[in-house]
Amino acid sequence: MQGPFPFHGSHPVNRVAGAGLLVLAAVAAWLARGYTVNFIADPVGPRAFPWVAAGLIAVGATFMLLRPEERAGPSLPSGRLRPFLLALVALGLYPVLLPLLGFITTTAGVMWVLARLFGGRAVPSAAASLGLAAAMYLLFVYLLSVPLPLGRLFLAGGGG
Amino acid sequence: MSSFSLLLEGFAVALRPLNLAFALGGVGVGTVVGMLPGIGPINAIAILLPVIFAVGLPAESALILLAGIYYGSQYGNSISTILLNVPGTTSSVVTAIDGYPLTQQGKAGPALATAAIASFVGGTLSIFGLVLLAPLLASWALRFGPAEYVALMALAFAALSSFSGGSFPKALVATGVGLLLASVGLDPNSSVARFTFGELRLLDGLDFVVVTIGLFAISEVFLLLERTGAGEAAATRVGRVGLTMKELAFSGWSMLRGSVIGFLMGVLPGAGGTVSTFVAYGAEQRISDREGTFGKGDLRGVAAPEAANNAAATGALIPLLTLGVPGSATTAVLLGALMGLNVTPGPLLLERNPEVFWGLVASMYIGNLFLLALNLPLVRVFVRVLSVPRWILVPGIAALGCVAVYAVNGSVFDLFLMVGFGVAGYGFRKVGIPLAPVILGLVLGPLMEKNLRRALALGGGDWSVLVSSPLAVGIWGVTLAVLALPLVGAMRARRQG
Repeated sequence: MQGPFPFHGSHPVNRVAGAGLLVLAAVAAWLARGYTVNFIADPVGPRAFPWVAAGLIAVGATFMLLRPEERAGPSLPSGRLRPFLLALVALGLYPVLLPLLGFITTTAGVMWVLARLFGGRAVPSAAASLGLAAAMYLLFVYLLSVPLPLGRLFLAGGGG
Repeated sequence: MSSFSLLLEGFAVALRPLNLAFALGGVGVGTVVGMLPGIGPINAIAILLPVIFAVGLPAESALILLAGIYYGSQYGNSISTILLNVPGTTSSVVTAIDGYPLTQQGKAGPALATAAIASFVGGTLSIFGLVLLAPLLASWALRFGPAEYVALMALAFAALSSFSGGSFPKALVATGVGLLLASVGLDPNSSVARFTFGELRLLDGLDFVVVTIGLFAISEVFLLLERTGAGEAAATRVGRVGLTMKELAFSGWSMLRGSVIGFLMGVLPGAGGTVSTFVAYGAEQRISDREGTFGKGDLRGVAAPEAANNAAATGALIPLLTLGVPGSATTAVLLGALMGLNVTPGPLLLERNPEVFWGLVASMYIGNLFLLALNLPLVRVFVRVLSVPRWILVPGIAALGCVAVYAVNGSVFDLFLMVGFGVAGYGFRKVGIPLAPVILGLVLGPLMEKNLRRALALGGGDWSVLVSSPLAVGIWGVTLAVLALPLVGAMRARRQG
């Protein structure tokens, strides 16, 4: 795939990713410029490592922009966008709904969405999700002593 | 040697039927708990410790149980790492590099078996090392100051190109991202808040579990979603379960080398298991990767780090038992356990309670043995996990991951971070940026930075303090050799070709 000079050999995905990463490195370095302290005993200072990190990213990203890929190149998303977005929304809503609806309900809900996205039929997915979520709740709360939320909605109503 | 006779006495204690039951039970429970994503040995021990105290077991029995849980959960971690690409602890991350591709090629069984055997070899050899070398190594560990640690971290980073998966620039990017993630939070040396954007919850930095579950498990959800949508089978194929003798012999030397590296590094407080897995993998790749199979599913890439982290676990006991200094978070929990059992680790442990020390050593050996005996036949059972259809398995893993992340701080903010890392991990994997160097940067970065700044502070700002001791110079020498090795090999190949 011939690109415009000087991006002759590089894969278009690498070009986009490389550019994005260069921006990231620049932003990080710019943010870190203010991380200074005034004592002499610390010549390195708190901004050194972020700058080293940004430098590494910048160097790597530049090569990504310019060099042809050595071995297996990047793979473009082969699926449709909708399942990804649905999964993302479900996972993103999980932390929002967790304190409200409690562990079992929210987890079962998200699990059901994911199960459907993976081809599970509606009713078996619902059963599996609820069952697994309940089992996890019992395992973690009672056996492993990991507190999981019951949900404000249910507690306010007088019991969970 | 009186040490040897004490060791035999230790075995006598460890082999009492009740203690054997504890060893077996500990390994069993540990394995199951360790299989849960995000739950590593330290969680398992910390969770079960109150139970152990409440029951009021004698010290030796409690230690046997703890040792069993420790090894069991380490192996359980390896199981979820190899089968599902979800490393639960830092020391399992490197196993995923070759372990998961092996699963994808239908070789999950051999991979798990290799991991079990390598862990056993690592544990066994390191126990010999412990018995023979404990006092010597303890004094050696004392000579490791900040400058030496910096050199050691440099050595670990020098192994970086082994994790590049073919593209060194992308490995650089990954390491840089890991280092950036590591800088998030309050800088311990100067109390400057870095990259927190005013968010209080970021002051403690990013938790390893949050980053790992997001980068590995959640990104895996997106990847599998895409693959299933593209028509791939509804469950990963199980493939071959057994390990052939030829494969075992193939990875034999890797196990030995990994054990040595793991043991030596485990002795050093703070460095321990994780660093040893990275160095062991890097060394192994340089020594034995002729056809470039590492990273694509090479059993030796599983054998070396697995042997290393078990050997390191035993090595980490040396500073604990001889100096009373815990070398890692897990040994710190063990220290708490020991003190709760009225056993005070330290130089006097060997004099006051030799039966505890040798009982522990013997029980660790028994634990290792049970690990192998229990888990090898169970490999065919573990592998069955893969045949669970994805519409049940993937939501289940995602949910377990969410619990693990939530359990860290009880904070939903961490869950948001997890999803963010999931998207980032998905992006990285699509572009071909390897994830292991991110973890390398995340884990090793702070260690290196802390020690570098400490070394310079102690040296008054003079950079030559980094090469001031023969030990540091020696390690830098090894680092340079490690970096030069592939170049030498390439030059030699060019001359011949």
